[in-house]
Amino acid sequence: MIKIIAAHVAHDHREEILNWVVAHVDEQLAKPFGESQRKPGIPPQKVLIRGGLKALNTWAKGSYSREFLKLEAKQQLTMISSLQLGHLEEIKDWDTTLQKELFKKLLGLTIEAYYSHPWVWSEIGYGGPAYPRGYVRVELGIADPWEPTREEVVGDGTEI
Amino acid sequence: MERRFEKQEVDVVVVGLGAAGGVLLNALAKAGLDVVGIEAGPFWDPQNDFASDELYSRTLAWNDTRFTTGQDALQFGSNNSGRGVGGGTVHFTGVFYRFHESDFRVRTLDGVADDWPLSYEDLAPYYAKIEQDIKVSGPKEFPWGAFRGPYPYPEREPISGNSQIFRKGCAALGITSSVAPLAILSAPFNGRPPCINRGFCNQGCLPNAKFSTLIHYIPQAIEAGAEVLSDSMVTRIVVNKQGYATGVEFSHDGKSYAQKAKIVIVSAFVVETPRLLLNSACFQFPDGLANQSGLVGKYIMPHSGHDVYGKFDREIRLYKGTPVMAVSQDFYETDQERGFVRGYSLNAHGSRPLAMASLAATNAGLWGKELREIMLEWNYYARITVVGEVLPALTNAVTLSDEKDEYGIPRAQVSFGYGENDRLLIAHAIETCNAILEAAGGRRAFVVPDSAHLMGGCRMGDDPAKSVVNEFCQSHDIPNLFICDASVFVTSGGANPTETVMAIALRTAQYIIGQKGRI
Repeated sequence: MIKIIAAHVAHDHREEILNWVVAHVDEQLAKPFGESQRKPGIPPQKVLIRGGLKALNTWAKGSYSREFLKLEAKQQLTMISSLQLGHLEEIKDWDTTLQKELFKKLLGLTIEAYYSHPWVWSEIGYGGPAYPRGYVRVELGIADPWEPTREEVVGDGTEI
Repeated sequence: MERRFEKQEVDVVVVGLGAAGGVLLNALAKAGLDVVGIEAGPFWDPQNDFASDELYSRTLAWNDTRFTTGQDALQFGSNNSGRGVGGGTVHFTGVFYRFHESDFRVRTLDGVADDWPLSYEDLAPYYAKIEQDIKVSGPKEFPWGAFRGPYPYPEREPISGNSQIFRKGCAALGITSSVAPLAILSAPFNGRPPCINRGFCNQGCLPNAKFSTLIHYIPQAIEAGAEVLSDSMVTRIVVNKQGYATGVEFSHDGKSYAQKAKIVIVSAFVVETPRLLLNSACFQFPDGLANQSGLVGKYIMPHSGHDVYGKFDREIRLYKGTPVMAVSQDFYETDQERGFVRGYSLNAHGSRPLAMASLAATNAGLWGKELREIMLEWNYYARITVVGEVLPALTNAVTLSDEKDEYGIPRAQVSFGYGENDRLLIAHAIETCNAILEAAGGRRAFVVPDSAHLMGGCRMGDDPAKSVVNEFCQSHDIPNLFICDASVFVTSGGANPTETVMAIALRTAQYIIGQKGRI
């Protein structure tokens, strides 16, 4: 279920990257240390996410008579969008605040893992924190030979 | 654990080895005092513990859960607090500003907040000493404030594309800009190389080009005889019947230990410092230590730190180079015509994928197709980050919650909300950023609400009823208990605070040394 939610949130369906995201979420839920911050009245992330996924499934069954994973992609997306706004009113014990916090937690964990994947780094044109060579040509319009290029690099930086 | 001073009462114990703790430990050890520094987190080894992985680097932050509440609830973790020897200096951006003269006289000049019990002139020699010590790089002539340069090391050259864009936009609008003063080497020093523009200042500097107390002051302190106890969480400050501090209790590997000391200095950051003081409540001090004023934990201030993005037709490549290489403080001082008091700095600020995407997601609510499309073109974005002054308010505070952590200490609860002046300032700053980005040829894209740094909570002052410590960071209530970190700030200023934290720490160390055991 985390995988499918991550696919919608990150807007990417590649199995390998999503598995990486799921592994990250698992690790975060298993680790003994903290989650940096939490609002008063919101349960720890482990409880929030596990309970939240169950509640989402219950809501899916109640509204669409099907489990969340069996829904059409469009229906899943609609549900996630409603969760962001805290508008899934039928979920028992899950008020607006809790829904929003659940969404924010899933979003945060997904995005931080997704944008740490090397494939995604390459796709968006991030050369990475080059080490030990670093970057020599940092100005506009010029690039080091070890950087990714989207298209042919033009200019020499003098036109600024 | 092996300890040199286990049975001994040392001269000073320092709780927390970040920006302030590192400076204190070094200065006190070099003066021949027996000092022990106790740090909750690990003793990092940059070559082995830091990685080229933005996600992994979050372990450098203080990730213990803190409750956050209020109208503008703050984010912690990597946003502002470090854990481990070096503290926040291990992952700070390295922007190294002095505060301005006006920052210490806000009540007199603007009729709000309070004046500090010390002036800019009092701190000036300590600013200068710190800058020399660590070889701050910066321009020959700095355009704002009382100190106009030159800095000990030459300014960084070349600057990043994002900083070029910033300076171009400023020039077109008649706004003065400058290359940033940085605690990052522009030339070799002390066996450390100049910066290689890897861009990972906030993720742990691998080549050691960026200053941290971990690699500069603390090794020197150890050489001078200081002891560092890492992975050791101080749980309590012990006070005797006469009302003097006698040392601290701490936890290491699940076991409890104690360290006796003639002087206790708490340098544990704006959240943990009040938390420790409040948790150390005892028979004589039922409301917590140094808290007769009731102000421990009160008047905390972040900087408003909104990130303003503009989109360009050409590649900017936000990831290249030191994150902040150009700045402006043209809007730092009060200008009555703007409709609010105080001001802000603007930092041209680079970014990395995780940081940019995460904040755009959690703080600006972007996700799915929209976020993916932005990130696929992220090399076309430029960014300016605001460092805006936030006025102190009594209701913005650190308190103890009902939930305890693994050490049995109640978790901190932090409440924060911006005031009216803060909001007007933020709106003005965002508009200025957008104007600069447009003048540089970009289009307005999006704004990520954010905050940075944290100050206050044990503010200094002359009046024991209205402050927690005096100008030398000595608590009004317990003469041998010092509180020395950003929590003593009376106002936030509109500039990155680390240099001021360090200058205050050095001044405190000099004061303690000058007392020659009389405290």
